[in-house]
Amino acid sequence: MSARGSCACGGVRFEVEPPFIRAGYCHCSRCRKHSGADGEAQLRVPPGQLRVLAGEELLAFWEPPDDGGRKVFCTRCGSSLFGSKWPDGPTVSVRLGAFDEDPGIRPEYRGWVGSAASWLPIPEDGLPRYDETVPQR
Amino acid sequence: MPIPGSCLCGAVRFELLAEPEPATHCHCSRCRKTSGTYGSVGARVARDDLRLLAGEELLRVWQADAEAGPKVFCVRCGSTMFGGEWPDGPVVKVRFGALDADPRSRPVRRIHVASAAPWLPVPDDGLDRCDEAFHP
Repeated sequence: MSARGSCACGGVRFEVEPPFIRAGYCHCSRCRKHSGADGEAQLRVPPGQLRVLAGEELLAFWEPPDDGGRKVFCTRCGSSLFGSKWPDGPTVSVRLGAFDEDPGIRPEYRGWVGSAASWLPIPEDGLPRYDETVPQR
Repeated sequence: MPIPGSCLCGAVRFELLAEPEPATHCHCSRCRKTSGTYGSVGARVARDDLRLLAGEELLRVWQADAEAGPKVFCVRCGSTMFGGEWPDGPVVKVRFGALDADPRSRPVRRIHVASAAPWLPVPDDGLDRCDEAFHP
């Protein structure tokens, strides 16, 4: 069963088809600034499993000056929706905050904790932590 | 010493001239969607103590309805930055992810935990919890 999601204003709607590769938190400084919180939470899928159902014209992304991930958001409400090299690349990430239905998967790790902000303590929730990027599986 | 902040692309820059109030995590669905993660974290600060230094023209405001708090973001990079009674109210909210230095204030409370998504569990970290909004 695919899981549906949308931005806060409802202009962008999407669905993602399982199986998902993995899910986790990223505490890098870019995800922190983009989210306004302590980072992003996301799952990864091959791009063919993510379908934008409405509002594609509202989507924009910020492209970093290096090889880092794009930050894809709704230009009407600012909701953070997708990442990695969406819509390109072998996998794309979909923000867990954007889902309207339980995608079934749960965050399994916390990445880039070495970049976490001292004023935003990372919860002690027992998830494995990685100072930088999460090893590929 | 002012507390500096900026968006991800660096175009919007601001500074806080005073320490913000103790901070709050909000797990409501709008904060969850605008952030892309469990919700937002930020604190109230007097509007007079938040000085915009650059990029004001890139700030965009989305408000679900007249009762809802505005969500203020940089339209170039999508960074979630401000809320509260933006832009002219006496008290606005600043998202802590937008800060570039320690504001000294820390999160003390989690609100709207009844709206938390099951796939983004609320951590058991001992902070005060409110099912909905916090009313002192």
